[in-house]
Amino acid sequence: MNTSKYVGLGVVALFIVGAVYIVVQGRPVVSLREEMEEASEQGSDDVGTDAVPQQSEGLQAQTTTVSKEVIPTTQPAPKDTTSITTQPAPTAQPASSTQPTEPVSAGPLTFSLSDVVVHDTAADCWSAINGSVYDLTSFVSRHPGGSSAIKSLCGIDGSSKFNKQHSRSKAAQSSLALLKIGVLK
Amino acid sequence: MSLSATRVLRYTFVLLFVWFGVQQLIDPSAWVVYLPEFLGYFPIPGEMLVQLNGWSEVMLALLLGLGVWQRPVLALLSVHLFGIALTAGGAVGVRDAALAMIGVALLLSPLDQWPVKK
Repeated sequence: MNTSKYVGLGVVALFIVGAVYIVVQGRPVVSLREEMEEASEQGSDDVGTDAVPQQSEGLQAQTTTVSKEVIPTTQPAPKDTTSITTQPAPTAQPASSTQPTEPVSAGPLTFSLSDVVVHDTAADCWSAINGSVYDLTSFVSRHPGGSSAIKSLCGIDGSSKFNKQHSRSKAAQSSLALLKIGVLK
Repeated sequence: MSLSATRVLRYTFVLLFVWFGVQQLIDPSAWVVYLPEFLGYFPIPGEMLVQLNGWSEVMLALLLGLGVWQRPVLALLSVHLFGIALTAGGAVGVRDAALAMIGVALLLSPLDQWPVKK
């Protein structure tokens, strides 16, 4: 086997190692939930890099501890969620899932409309559409119909506006599904 | 096409894919919106797909830069660009189709000597 094949196989091996690292880095949140439960049983937060205890009236405190091996989201934890799972995502943006219905996790993140309202700028744009919550920040400048249409959805329930324009568009609905971050409580 | 021109085009192709691949690795969330619709039904997060795609592009560019398996790599990259062109459509699609044709031209031209000695 000549040198070129050795080099080629070396690059292939490097690709496999890198691909495994990428997959492991974004491993399913099920294992992360197990880590969180284990940490809460032990009464320590040594698993997490970000611990944001959330308390509100009538709701139990929720911790959003994140494993050091999983990159946490930069968005602040919602104030009155009942179930929280962190999605494996880079720090630049909150997690965006390709699934049209559910992310790869034990359960979707739940948000209330009051959580969505605080994200009402083009630089931090959430919208509730048809019972789900979407992070439209990365899409503001990429919307084919212009950024103003997306900006008008920031921080509100945009179901009526979206359905009026895109109820029959599979392309729009598929694109929207990629930006889903949770469900509306 | 002279061997010098072939080499210039080859390394330009390499830089193109290295740049785009690294961008996808660094900030995958910005590229999720460009994923095709059918990937929405995969049980794999979009950002993971983008990072895997970016890593693949970087590795293929590395192979092309080293001159290893040039024709298969060029064929693969050209097909990849054609797929992007078909998915994106519009001006972006036209541009990517033109880049894919450059890959095809490289594929059909005589290969220059690769840097790594046998």
